[in-house]
Amino acid sequence: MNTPESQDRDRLQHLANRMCDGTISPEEIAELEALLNRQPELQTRYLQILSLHAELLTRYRTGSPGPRETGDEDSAADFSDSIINSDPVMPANSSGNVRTEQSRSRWPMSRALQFAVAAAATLLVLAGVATLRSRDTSAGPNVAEVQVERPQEPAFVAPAFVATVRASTQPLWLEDGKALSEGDRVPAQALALKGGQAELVFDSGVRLVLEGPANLRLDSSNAAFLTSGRLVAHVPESGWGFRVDTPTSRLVDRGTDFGVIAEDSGATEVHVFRGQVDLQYEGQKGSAKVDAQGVKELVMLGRQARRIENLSEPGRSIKFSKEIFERLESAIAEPLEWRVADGGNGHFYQLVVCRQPITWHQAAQNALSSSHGGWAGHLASITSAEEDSFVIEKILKDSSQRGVWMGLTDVLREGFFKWVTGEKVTYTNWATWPEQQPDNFKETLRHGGEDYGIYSRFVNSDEWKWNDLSIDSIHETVSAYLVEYEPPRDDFPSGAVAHEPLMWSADRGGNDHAYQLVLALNSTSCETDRDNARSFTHNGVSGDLVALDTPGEFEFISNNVLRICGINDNLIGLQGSLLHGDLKWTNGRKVEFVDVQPPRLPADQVYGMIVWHHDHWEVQARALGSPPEDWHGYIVEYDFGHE
Amino acid sequence: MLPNRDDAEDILQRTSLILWQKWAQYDPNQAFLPWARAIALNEIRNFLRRSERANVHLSEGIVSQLADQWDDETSADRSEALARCLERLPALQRDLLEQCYLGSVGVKAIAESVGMTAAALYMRLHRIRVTLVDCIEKRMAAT
Repeated sequence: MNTPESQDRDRLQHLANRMCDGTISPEEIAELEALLNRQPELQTRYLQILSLHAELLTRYRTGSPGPRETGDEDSAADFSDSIINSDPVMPANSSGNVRTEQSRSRWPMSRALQFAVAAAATLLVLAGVATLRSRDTSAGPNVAEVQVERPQEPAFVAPAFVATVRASTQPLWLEDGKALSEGDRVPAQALALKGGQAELVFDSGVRLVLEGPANLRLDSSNAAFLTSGRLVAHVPESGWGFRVDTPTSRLVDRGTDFGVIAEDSGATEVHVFRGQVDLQYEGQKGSAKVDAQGVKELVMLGRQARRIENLSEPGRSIKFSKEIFERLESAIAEPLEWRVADGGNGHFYQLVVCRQPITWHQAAQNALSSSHGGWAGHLASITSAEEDSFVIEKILKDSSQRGVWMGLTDVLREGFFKWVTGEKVTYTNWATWPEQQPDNFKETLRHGGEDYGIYSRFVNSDEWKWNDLSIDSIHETVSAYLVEYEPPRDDFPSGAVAHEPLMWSADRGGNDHAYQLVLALNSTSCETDRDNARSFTHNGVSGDLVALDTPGEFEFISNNVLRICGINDNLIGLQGSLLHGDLKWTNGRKVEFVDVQPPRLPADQVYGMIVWHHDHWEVQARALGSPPEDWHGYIVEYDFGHE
Repeated sequence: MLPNRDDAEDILQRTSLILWQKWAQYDPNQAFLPWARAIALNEIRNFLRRSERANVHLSEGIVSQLADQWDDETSADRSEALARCLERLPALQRDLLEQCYLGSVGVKAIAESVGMTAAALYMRLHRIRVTLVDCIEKRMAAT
């Protein structure tokens, strides 16, 4: 008879095996994860099976057992380098060797790599990244193909490819006439960009944005040579030591953002945005402070700039300007972590600057569709003074923007600001000068007035405060927004902001149903809205798109739910055939009393919207083929009598 | 979505590059393997964190737990034990295992060539793995 323990063990063995095979499903991964968490003693068994798998992969695919820590002492001469050959057709050595200039003989680096890569390979197997199946789906190299070679001399064999094209507005041309575009891998070669911009991500994590016309040579995943043109480099910790050389300068990055211009005349300009860059030059012979190779170093810090004419001198200091790189720099702003260690929430914040003015809605949608490290983004919700000052000090202060959209809106109901995340607005930092904000400027002139939250830097003051603006900000140009990335949460539906349900109570002549206005930020169709509407619950009752059964109901919605909202188009639960006079509400009843305005173009199958038309709300039919605009509202009804 | 080789390749490549860059920071008085492993684990964690939502790998948390229990010290002995256990495996099973792990053709093709369904082949493979693990553990316990 099977005990529960042996059943769990059998199940674990089954799942572990499927993990090895690469046939495990996401549901089974979740089950495996739960099992390992619930019964830590099963972790041993899991490790046994997966380490066998790792060992077998190594044994059969490299023809040797994994690297060993042997005691032999010929290790000083043993510079065998372990490489990962990223192109099985091409012998690794033909892809261009980069010699290690520094010979660190304490422990041969070759073996360091060999061991670390073996350790990484095993860990990959544990996590289920390396499987049998992955081999089946491709003829390419596999995790276990860690080739161990013994070149004649100490050499670090560079992989054939050193970077990836993250984005480009024009193709990047290789020497051999091949064009690279978004997503392509970039070999260690010279490339040309004739115009526009291109962003490269080196395998070391360094990101370069190049502005054409430019000529750049990639030397390794940690070095590049800018022959002409301009670029901005962002170097994360992992890319510490990244080199950018030009015909007249040698720059070594010490963890920073900086811009370089290599002029056709040969002169170089370097502007350090933050962090440190070491400028190397050939010192005069016999002078002090020159190291063995005759290289002198000049440390450049944030907000410093230099113009360098030739390799033998450090050039002269010039006026720092971030603006000349603005178009490049904005594209490269990295999400910045508000670290827990610094009293933060561990979320990431990113300032996105667009070349064109952007509406709040477009910004909100862009933010929702972006992600960082697997976390989804949204327009930032600032819920504490600490968070506010982090954003202002670390992100906004250095920017040249005057206004930056944030995730705050009272479009659902004038005066009731909400965060796009559904979080309560408890902390605020509205500007008090020159006017107290939010002031809903010129509300009487425009339907809805100013409904969207923005960080503003006010004229004659360097202070960042909150302000409210109208959707397209007719009197301001906003082309930046702030994205916050955080772990997924269960308690708010992403892509929707909802107002609290309003009750149409019986003592006011109502039906005791509740109605809720929801702003859809990234809806794809009427069906998704309806699905969302039905997934919402209020006091234990599920919602659905509203059905207008009586004139009073329409009046209540117009006067209460929609009256002071700024959303012009609001989906309701109406669908059917216009030509056959067969329009129905979501509750199955026929459309009787309301006047339904026909669609602009003749159509049969339609859905319904309540639309603000000049000076009143009306019900309009729209062709099913033309879905609501990206940004619209929908009205949810909770029918308490129905249950 | 399948776990794919590009991920594995990418992580390994990054790991070796990072090691290369951090080489100067390695303190020779420090044990080497844990240092190298910490760097590798860090890369994998970053990767898992990025792919967490896709739900195709174990989570960062559980992999860290597993990595803690992972004993590099015995890996040479295990490798040795595996060699002995493979010798004791019936030839048919050993061939099957070899074909699957050589990976020159897919599991489906192997199954066809021996007149089995892929499901049946996977089942065989599972039994062989369990047999080998039990054999290795027995040997390890004996030493």
